[in-house]
Amino acid sequence: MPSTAVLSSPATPAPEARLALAELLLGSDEARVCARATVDWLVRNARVGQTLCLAPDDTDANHFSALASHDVQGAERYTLSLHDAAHPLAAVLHQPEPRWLPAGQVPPELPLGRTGLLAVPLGQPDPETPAAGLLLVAAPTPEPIPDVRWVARHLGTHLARLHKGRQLKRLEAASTELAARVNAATEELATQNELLRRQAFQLEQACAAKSQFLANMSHELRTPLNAMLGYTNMLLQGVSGELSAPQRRSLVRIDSNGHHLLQIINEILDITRIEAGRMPLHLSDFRIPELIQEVLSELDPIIVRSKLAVSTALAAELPVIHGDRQKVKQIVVNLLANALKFTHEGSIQVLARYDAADESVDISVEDTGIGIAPRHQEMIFEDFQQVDSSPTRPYGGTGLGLSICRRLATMIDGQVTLKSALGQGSTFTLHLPRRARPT
Amino acid sequence: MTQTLQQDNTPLVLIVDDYQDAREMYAEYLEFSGFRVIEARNGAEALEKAREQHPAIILMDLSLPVMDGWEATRRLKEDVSTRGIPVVALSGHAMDGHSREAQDAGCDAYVTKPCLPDALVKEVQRVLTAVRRTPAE
Repeated sequence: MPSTAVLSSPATPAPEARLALAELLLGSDEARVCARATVDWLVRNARVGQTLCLAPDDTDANHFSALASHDVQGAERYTLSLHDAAHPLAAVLHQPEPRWLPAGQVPPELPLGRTGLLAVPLGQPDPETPAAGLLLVAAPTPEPIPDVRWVARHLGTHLARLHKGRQLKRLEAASTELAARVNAATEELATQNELLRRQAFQLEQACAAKSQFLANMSHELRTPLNAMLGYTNMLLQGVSGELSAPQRRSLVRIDSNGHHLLQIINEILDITRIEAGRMPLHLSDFRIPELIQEVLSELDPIIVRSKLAVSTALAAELPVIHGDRQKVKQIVVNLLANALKFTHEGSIQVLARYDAADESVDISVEDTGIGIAPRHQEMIFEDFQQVDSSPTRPYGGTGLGLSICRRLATMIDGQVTLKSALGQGSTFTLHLPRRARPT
Repeated sequence: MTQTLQQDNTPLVLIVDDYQDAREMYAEYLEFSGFRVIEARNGAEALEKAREQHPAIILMDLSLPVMDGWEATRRLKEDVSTRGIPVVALSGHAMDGHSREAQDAGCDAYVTKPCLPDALVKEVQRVLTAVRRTPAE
């Protein structure tokens, strides 16, 4: 063919050889193979001597290593660091033109002979895009070597494309891995959520079952207790005839222990009902003095036995309260019963006063009893906690009384507070609004 | 030790409870306090005895076998012949809801067990006095 004949004519060997190199480069995806072919091509066609083709590491653009070389000792181990911007080769990376360095200016670390050096940027660099690498050719004079610029530009373009391809692949791999990780994390999260949801449901059910169990238990416990207390009460009333003094004393003990047991069961039931949200509010209007009188007469047997001076100090103008009377009474009974239990001598005073400014009432029970150390003052409001909960504790009870008081107070928008010092008595105060909010 | 003469004009109390010890205990104390007492172990028996003997007052436990106390009370209040008999509900179950249900069923008063015999008798006397003051329509 005529065109082929022209290309292959010995007078112009370069175009044919160029085509061959271009095809070779296109056929390879390996940067090293491309560089090798280019260097070989130069040696054969441009008759260059020492040649070194450098390209940056994938991880560090300022760290060049040898891709291919010709007649350079130790080229494969050589690396060139360009972190220093003043390095003579650093400038070449951003120039479109090759640069010739005379023998004296060649960086001494380069493993080239001591001739001049032609440094050719690979590709088409500009200030923003640095060269894809450097082609260093030993050249004693600045005269241009034919084909070197063309080869360097062609190889550079190819290397840049390969580099972009590798980056894209890495990016794709990273993106795939990231997506997989996100999927895995999302799945894990969904699993955990489901697990938590199930656990919450199970907890709720267990809690409801516990409440039901305690309610049933308390019913089962109170049924026989009712008969025990009832028969004891009847015997004490002489329904079955007169009693001897020892019989009466024994029966009184059965009676008081039975009542204590009943109180414990009732307190456990109260906690259960509060926890299960099954203790509704019953709001009504009531007066404090009547309520306190009722509390005193309810506890009268204990007051008489205690030999303590129990008195009241009620403010003259106490308003009518709108709230849950039964719950207020239960709290005050509990506070007074505690005072009677923990006071061995002295007095107990029940006080009530009204604060017109914030429309609230304080009902306090003040005693001269054993008092409570500061470190125990919060603990005693917790379930089943007493200052001394040990088996050898001097005071009985469930340790639920104050816990119930605090919960009841919260239900009626009030609160129970304590002022006390060890050995100097205690003052428990129920603070409640004149009008409870209807729920 | 039942010293009071059981005349026909002393009020007749029907005590309904499936728990024998409690039922007999209250019966014994009611008799000791001067009442005549008949007993029933469940709601069905209670209906039968109420219709036959027409007591002055019925003490009705709520959790009962065969027919429970709510149902028995509802039927008593539907029946013209027994409607006028006051029913005092007796419940050992303190979980909320029972007292309102008892009221809905037509109970005239509500007592929570444990209840001492003398407290129950006081309640019986209170209800009977109230009924006497406001005779049935």
